[in-house]
Amino acid sequence: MKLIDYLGDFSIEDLREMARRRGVRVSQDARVGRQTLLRTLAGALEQYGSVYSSVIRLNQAEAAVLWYLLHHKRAGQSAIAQAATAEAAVVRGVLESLRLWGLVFPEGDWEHIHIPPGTQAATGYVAAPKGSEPDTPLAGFVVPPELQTAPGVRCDPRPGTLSGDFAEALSRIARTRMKLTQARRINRRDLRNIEAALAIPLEGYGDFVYSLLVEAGFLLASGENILTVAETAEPWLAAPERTRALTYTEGWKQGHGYPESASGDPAEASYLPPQLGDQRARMLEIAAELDLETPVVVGSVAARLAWMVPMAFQQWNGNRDPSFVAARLARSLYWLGLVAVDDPDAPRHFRLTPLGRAVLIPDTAGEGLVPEEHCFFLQPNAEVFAPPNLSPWVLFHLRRLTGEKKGGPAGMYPLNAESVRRALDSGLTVTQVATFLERFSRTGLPANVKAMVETAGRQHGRIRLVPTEWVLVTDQPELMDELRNLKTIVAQMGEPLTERTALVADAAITPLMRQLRTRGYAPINQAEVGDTLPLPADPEKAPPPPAELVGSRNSTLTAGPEGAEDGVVPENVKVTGRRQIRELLELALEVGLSIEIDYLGDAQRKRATEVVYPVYVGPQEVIAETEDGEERTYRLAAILWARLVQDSEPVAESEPESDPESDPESVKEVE
Amino acid sequence: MSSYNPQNPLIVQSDRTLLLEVENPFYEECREAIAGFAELEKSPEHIHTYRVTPLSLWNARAAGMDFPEMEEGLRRFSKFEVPQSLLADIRDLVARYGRLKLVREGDRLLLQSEDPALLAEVMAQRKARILFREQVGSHALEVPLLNRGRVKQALLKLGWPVEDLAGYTQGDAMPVQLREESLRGRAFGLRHYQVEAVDNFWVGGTERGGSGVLVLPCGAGKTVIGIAAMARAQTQTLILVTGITAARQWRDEILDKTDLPPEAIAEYSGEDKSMAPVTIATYQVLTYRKGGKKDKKAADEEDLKNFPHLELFNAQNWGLIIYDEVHLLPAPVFRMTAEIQARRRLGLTATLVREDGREDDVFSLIGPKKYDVPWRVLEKQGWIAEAMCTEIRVPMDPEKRMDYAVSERREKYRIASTNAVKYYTIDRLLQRHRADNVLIIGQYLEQLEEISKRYDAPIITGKTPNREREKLYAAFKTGEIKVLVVSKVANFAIDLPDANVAIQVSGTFGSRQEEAQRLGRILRPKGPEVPAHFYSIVTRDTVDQDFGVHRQLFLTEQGYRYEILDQDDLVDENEVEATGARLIG
Repeated sequence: MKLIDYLGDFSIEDLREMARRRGVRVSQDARVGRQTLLRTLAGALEQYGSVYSSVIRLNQAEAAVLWYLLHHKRAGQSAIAQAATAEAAVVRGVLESLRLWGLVFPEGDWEHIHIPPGTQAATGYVAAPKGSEPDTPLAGFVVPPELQTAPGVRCDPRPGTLSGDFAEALSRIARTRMKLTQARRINRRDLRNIEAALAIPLEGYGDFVYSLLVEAGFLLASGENILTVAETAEPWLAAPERTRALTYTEGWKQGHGYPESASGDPAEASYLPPQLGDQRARMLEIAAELDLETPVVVGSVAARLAWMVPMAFQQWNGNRDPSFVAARLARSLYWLGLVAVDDPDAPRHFRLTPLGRAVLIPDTAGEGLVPEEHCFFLQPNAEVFAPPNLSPWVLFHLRRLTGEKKGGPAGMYPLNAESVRRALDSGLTVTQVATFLERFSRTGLPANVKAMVETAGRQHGRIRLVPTEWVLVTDQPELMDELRNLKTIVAQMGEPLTERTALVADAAITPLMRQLRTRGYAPINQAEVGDTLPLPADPEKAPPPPAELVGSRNSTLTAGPEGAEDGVVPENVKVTGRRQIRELLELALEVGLSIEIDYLGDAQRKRATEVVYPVYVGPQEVIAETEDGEERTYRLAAILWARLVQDSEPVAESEPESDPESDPESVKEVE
Repeated sequence: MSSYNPQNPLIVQSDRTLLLEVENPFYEECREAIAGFAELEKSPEHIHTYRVTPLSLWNARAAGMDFPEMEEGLRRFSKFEVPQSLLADIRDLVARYGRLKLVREGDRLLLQSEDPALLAEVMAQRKARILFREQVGSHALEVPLLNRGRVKQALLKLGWPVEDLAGYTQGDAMPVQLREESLRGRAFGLRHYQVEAVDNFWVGGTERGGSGVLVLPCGAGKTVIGIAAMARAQTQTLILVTGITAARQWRDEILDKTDLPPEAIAEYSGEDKSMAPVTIATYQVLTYRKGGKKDKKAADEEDLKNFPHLELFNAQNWGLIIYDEVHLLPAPVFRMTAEIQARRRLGLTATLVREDGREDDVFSLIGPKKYDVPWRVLEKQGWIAEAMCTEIRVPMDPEKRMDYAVSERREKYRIASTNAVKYYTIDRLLQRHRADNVLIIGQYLEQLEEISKRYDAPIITGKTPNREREKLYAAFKTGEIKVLVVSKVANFAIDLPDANVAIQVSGTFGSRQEEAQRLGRILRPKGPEVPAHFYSIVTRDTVDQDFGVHRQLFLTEQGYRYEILDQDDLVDENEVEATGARLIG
């Protein structure tokens, strides 16, 4: 019998499950059409290369039984049950699972088993279970180890939320000019500054947050390599808590940053062990078995994890100690807010949180989650209190205006002349600031605070540095006289041009700005004034969540109502983030679909939204055929978003997402 | 599992802060529940911040409050689930109190513990070890009597609060009764919060009370509370005050409100060094040093014998020592206080904010805070006057602008503070308040003298002889003088009950407590619907304005709002009369 004949007995649900397990991407047609799906899978399974990537993802029972079958060619269910000293039903379950992997098939019944040639190729790399007895080599390997509970051990959820920390980090990036390194990575000093403001003061957490921000596609780099916040961040921050958690959990599962299975410090690791995604996915499955009350022992979770993906712990390129990796993964789940732990730095026990339950267990939706609110308290002492359930969307904007807190309660932020000055420097206006504070404050805008904002606005920009050969301009001649009387200032200034202008040498710009600020002035360097997201003016009008947040692609997590099914990318869903874009392009290439991309442009071309047919997808670039039939090369890093289109017919040109007049080189994705 | 009660007023955070929504209907109930074990840190208009500290918990434990009661208070009023980590912290800290006890056994003072390992832990610390005489069995260490304060101070720093059950010296008896009608013929009785404050301090006369600090707003009657504490103690009392004028006002109040005869009260100051069952001494005379001023640190650490008047602490068998304006307590007095822990000690202040940050020393040596009531609470209840605070911004004198721009910061502040344009605003304010009793308060003598000349108003500065000062205060009280110009000598403990307008023209940089004390001068209630007006005139867009913002912090944290006006916003009085327009404030 041919492979396709064995698959002929599969239901369409089983075929979809097989596609998911084997990582075979299928088109919309294949998703709904059984025959198309059958042909696609048969073709994919014939490729021996896909066997290895499947085998390393088998659990201990599957791996052990497969090893037994590969070495006992005529063995059937009864012989396996004897070797495992297990019930026949248990063994049958394992065999059924191997069938769904497409590795073995029953011939009539499970006493006669067909092993396709592709599977036989795995004989060399499926090892005998460690420590097995010669007579009963599978004993103790087919049943998963129990999770050991520890009632009474106190586990606490993380302080704050990951979304809140996203808001904090993004606000700092929005209000500060953070220049990326030549390798287009964040400067360590800037990262440390961000880290200082996050809710969890543990080493590595800042890197973890930053890696997820990059994964989500929320960070861009301007032409001068200045880090900026992508427009997509704001609607994400405004999305409901469960939706946000679903997306960042998915981002973590598939993510490229902070590999917990690295042998050294994950924050320093540049290599991502390929088995990490499976370890993360299995850890989420384990967490989904937990409840809110009873903690489990990490040691037992490690044993279960090692049973679920044994070969992931046998690779040379990652840490092989399941306890070590499980503890780190538990810490990441804690950072994600999904579990509560006994020791935040090195968890020994953990349990589920209400957020974890909402994300990992489908029917619970948002039970136990605290509703978010859109208003803060602004007090006459110029302190703003952000309640713990303040929407990250509002927190993000609030933190663009407020200063650093020194001591004081969590969530209490000072508003002062310096923080307002910095907000104005970033491109916000006094009117925006005052309106935002007034509308989003549950307690109004006190007169003294309003006066402070207005005063800062009045002083701001009276001195401007204009980057045309660097000229300093004051709003009044008297102010120029005043500056000329200040020794430390005049030393940095060149020849006067008019009564309100003077030349400034290139090298003097930085010290001059510093001196002016030290003396209490609020100068503007016009070269540093960029576009910035405006402040919202109405707490009732949060931006609607973007379509891609509604259901995460390839999610094994609970998806929203319009979400994608497993293994299938829905149309009309925009994908951001370099990895996701590349995967979508690969899929389009594989199944022959066209794809719409928003391309930032390059020296030859302006920014545009185009529909293309991928011909080649490489690590850095994509070659695709345009609608005009022309073959072009696109830099992967310059594609802002991508989405599949309905079919291969030409699609009407869509409106560009952003202002076509804007600088085509203005933004790049951050690595 | 997760509980969310949006109707509740309290947000409990794992960083040990408690944030209380003032407008919530459960505010009062919640405040009652948490105030016993959490310190009020800030009380601005909408959200009050409390903090659970080891001291606040030990203080609560000392007052008889236990962990379940604290937990119940938090759970009952919390909006969100109470963090388990916080509850665990509280439980652990509360359990520390009482594990070390100071007791008297015959003539000996012993530090006792049921846990010998804990005593061993204490003895392992060098700073603590040198304070003990010897080990007495496995459960006690002998403490030299003079080290009682230092032992408590040192062990507190190590995180082990000592329950001081060694009691107090009773002091020589001094019968004293509060009058029901004051000597001036007015009905007299303690207000409810004054009774509460004294009760919290006294704790039935047991060793669990008898030392601590009471924090009440200016004008709330702290002197009366001190007098009530004397009446509870019935013992000879030493009262320490900031200056001679304050000393005399204390004497007048004691005579007015108790049955003590004048000869039972003495003043111990630079002018008069008498002693009597009630002796009122100034900090200045106590810190007089033989041989003049020396190194400050040496004064802190060494030779208390060079301060001859500190002997006053032991000159009589005092049963109670009252420290007025305890936030100003000078270093030598702190040191001396460490040695007199057997005497009851009462600290009084309106602002436990020390610009030098030594609040901890007040806690360790005088005692923990026993009572604190937000200013606005007493204002709402009508016990202190409703105050309207206004900052008026004036432009810089154009002639001074260049001088200002090129000066260093300190000089800049002087130029901006003494800006002559401020006179125009004072003109208008005096015109507006011509029927009121106005204090003009400032920092710079030249400026104050100029104002005095300009308005033909008498002036009181540090140079003004005490007799002259008292004459002027008396004239102001009777209404003979309507405008009085005062320097910072009038910041503290000056009772000018009829003053209802204060115009601040300059201050000591960004001092928060000075601003609060100055407002305090006008807070005594003058009758229903007679508000007090506090004006602060600052020069716009200068360091004067920046310091002004900082100065306002304490009061805004107490719930006061500042209206911000430009000089031109002040409506001309004649225009007001013509149009009937409402006066600002």
